[in-house]
Amino acid sequence: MSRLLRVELRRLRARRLVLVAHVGVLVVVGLLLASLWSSVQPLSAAEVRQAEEFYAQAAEEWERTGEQQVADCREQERREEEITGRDADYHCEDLEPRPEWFLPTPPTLAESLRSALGSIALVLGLAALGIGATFTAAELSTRSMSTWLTFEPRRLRVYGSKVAAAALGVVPLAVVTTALVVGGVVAVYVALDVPAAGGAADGVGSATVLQALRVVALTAVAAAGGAALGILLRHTAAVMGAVLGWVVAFEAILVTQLPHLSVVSPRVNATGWVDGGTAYYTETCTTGADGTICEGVEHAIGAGQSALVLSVGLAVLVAVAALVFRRRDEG
Amino acid sequence: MDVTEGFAITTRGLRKTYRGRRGVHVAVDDLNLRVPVGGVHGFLGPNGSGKTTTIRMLLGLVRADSGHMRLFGQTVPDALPQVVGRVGAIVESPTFFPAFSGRLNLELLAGAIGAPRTRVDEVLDEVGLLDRARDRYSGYSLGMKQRLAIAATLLKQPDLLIFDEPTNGLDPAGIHEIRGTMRALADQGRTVLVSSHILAEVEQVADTVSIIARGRLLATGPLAEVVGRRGAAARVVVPDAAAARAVLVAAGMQVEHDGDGLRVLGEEDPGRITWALAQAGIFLQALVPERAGLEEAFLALTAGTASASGDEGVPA
Repeated sequence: MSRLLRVELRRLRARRLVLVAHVGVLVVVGLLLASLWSSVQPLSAAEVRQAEEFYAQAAEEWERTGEQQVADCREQERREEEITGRDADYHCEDLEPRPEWFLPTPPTLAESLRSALGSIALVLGLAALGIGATFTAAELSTRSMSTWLTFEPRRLRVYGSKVAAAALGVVPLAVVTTALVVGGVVAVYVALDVPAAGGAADGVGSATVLQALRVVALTAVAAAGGAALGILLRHTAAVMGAVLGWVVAFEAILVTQLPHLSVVSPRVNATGWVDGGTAYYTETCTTGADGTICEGVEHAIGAGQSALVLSVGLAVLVAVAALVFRRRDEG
Repeated sequence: MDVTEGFAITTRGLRKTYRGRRGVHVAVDDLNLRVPVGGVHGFLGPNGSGKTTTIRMLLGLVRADSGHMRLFGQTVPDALPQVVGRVGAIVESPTFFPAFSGRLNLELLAGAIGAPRTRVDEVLDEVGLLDRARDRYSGYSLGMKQRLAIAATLLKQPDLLIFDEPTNGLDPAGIHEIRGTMRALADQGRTVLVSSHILAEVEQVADTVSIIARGRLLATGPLAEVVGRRGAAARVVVPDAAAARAVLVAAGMQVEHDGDGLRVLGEEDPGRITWALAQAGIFLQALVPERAGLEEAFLALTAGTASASGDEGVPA
């Protein structure tokens, strides 16, 4: 097995499409950092002047209508309490405009790191899925698999080595990419002399490392899934079509209609895994004498739950592909 | 006694069907094949007769519906991992990774079986591809692709080589080259199974043959025996052809007019012809034994394919 794995890793590295995928991911990293660079730039004098003007206008408006605004707010609060029979808090005491509302502050370093790693996880996941799929599907579509099996007829070994090679083969890409993203985000903050947000930098290091490791793991899982799909569907285009179909039919339509399906959604659980947890929302409506009232209900999904769902999904996919490949006529 | 002893390949009652839109298609039907160890064995049949399916089943690429197969006495596909190291095969057109060089393709295969990298250059040299080893496979000519495939089979230093339609698409020089390679491999003591629908090319190199049609074995044995039994004829020239024809027909021979003489079909012993005519006082002006080609034998065999049984004419 280890001999086959070494050979498969060598084959993976030699594939041109894999090289193209690597370059593509690095380009995305560059674009991501360029976007961050522009978003954390200090405000120009003109922008500050404009913000001050907007604040002055708002303050003047508040002077004229502030009392009325608060009164309206209290009235709406009272109506809500009457209808629902529960306390309502519209934060009416907090309506007076403040200067910082008009002077946008850059995201903290921790926020930027979390956001950048979340974005790159999606890119890496898709790239790894494609790399895994093309790695195995190309062998079937060119019928090179027949030649391969005349050298190693133990199909489960062959299959295992290919899936494992796809998963392991993308790890260097994921590690380098996440390191570039983390290093790049920090470099942007240092270069622009943006404060890391007073004291909020505590614990950023360990949280970032943990999130980066999760991105790497997700990339490997996506590659293994792609390799299994490639074996099942035999053509990279078929895999991409199936993934697109899944996204449209399940993620976009079914999950929207039936939000509880979010618990098994690969997209939601990938986010939950990378971000250390996520949530989905449902609506609960009650009809009473005053009409129908709908409330949004938040359902938390922990990172552990996401990991479990993704692991089970991958295991089922890999097992089904193994069974099919073991019994299928080749060539 | 082990009935597979002395045979590189044996199959018994082998059957494979495919389900398609038009129903069930029987690709191989009750095939009993025996390929002796050593020499070149021609596996012949028209396109779609089941040759490639049989080879794929032997190599574990396709699952048989029923029947038994053995390679060097080992039951396959169960024992294929134990015996595959002794078998090199090219199934239909060679299939390698088009974007990789010839050398990289072979290095990957060598890595899979644990062969040293030096072996790659040895086999490339053996098939005359060392100079083009760094070129991408997609840029190879058909002949070069075939040679690379042969080089791949040689990586294992196999005892049995299986070539499925190895000369498809090759020019005459390429065909000649492949034929020479097969002969040379057999002369080294290896067994070469070559499947083809081009009978003339196999006839020049095969020691033994098996002929199949519609998935069933029609004949098998040494080439000379299969050809001789099915296609022997003799051209006879006598002063009175009509009288001679009557005598030979009366003696149970199949005779047809051939210009100014006669052709006696299916008679392997010319002595019987001379004896019968001499008994009737007819003396020969000429008697020319004609050894029919494999093609004639093949056509004679396949003429009644519909009613042929799997074991017909098999001197097994």
